[in-house]
Amino acid sequence: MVLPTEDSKESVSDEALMLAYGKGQASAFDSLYQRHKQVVFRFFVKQGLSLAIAEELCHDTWLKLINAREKYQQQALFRTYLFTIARNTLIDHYKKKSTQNEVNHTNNNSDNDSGNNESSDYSNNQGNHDDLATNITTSPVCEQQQKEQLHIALSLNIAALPLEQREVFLLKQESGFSIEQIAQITAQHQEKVKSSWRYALKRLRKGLQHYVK
Amino acid sequence: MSNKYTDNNDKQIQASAMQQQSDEAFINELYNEVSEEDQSQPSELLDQRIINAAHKAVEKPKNSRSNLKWYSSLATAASLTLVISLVVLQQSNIVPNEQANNMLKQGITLQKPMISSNDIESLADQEVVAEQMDYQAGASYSTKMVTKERMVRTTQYEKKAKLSKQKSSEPMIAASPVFMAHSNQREESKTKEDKTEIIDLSIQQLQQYILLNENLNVEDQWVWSFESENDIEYIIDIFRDEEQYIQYRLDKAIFKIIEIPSQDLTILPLNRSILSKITIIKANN
Repeated sequence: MVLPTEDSKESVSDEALMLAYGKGQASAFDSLYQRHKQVVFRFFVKQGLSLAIAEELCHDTWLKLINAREKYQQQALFRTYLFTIARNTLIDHYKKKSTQNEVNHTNNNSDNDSGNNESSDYSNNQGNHDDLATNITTSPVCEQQQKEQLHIALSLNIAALPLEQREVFLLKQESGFSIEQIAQITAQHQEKVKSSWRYALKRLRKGLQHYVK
Repeated sequence: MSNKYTDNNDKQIQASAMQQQSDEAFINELYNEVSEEDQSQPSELLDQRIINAAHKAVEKPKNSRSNLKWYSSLATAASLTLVISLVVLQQSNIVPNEQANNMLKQGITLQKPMISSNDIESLADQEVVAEQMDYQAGASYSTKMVTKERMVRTTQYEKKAKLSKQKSSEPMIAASPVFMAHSNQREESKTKEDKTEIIDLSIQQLQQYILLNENLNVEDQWVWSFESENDIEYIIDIFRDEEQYIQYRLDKAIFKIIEIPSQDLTILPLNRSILSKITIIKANN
């Protein structure tokens, strides 16, 4: 296999770069990282996670990719491979968080206060979203502020989606994957992915209709 | 009826598809509006950490291989040292009895000092004589017979030796510390009795006896006798014949045999593996 040179890296596919990195060419990883770092990062940020956690998960995802460099085979798209790792990292994070919550719940013995953090986060987000919507409709703000608030509202609504719908929505809308590719990444049937996509759109539209003039 | 149902279904599917397209358009419009706002990127620090990790991972195998070589050679050397030391330790701990038994099994006649029947005064003496007979007839006795006889004599001897120790104030010539230690073990565990009995009666006791009885009957060419003693050591002579001998010092504390240099006499080969195990008991006067 011919390793891509520095000059030709712009035109080289992700898969070739990943194979080159697997063979030991460190600079191939730099190109790969520059191409995909933003989409991976936004995939985590849009989950409603804090920037710190998003960065941590991002770091874990890329480290897993680095460690699996020699196992990579050019059977699937590199992006599909990358986002499969990202999704697994996210699920691991939720599992870990859930376990921690269970421990905290047992220790504190306060059912009402702790509960399910994910759902409580979403409900909090939903509350914020309502406040935002009220502010936008009742107070006169400039266009720039409206855009900022719309951005926040969009993020909050996405974060408020159920996990299955949220990941399907983000993979399709943010990362540009097809339904078939998403089915591959999430290891689900295509019809289920379609269904999740449809429900996510419906829910988002319902939540954001106040913001569209 | 069925046509109506199918038509309704088609209409529903069409409406759903229309709705989905409308929703997608709505979301796309929102995304276009906020696209300028949403330029979130990972921090430079994170970029640096990930890129550094990627570069290190590619460079790592060279280091790990060299470390592995270093560790593997060290581990091999350590293992060899351990094995060698264990073998040496095991060889140095061979009990003289086992050596004697092995020699008996091989039919080798040992040149051992002889004693007369006049010297037989106690049960221990009887045992020593019996032991000596074993050595004299070593070539002709079969190994099984020798072992059996020794076991029988040992049992008798031990029982009587205990009684005599309790009742009489006579010196316990054959009751060496080694022997007594074995006797105590036998009291604790009867299951091991037979095995330990064979081990107990050995060349050691014969030698002890000879060492403590100054008047040796020299019937063999190679004997050793007690010469003198002081506070710290015994002086013993080892004879090749009636004229030639070598003097040795036997340290009382550590039972170490040290050859006394002599220019005139021929140096005899000394079976140190046996003599170094000699245990000396002072007779009570």
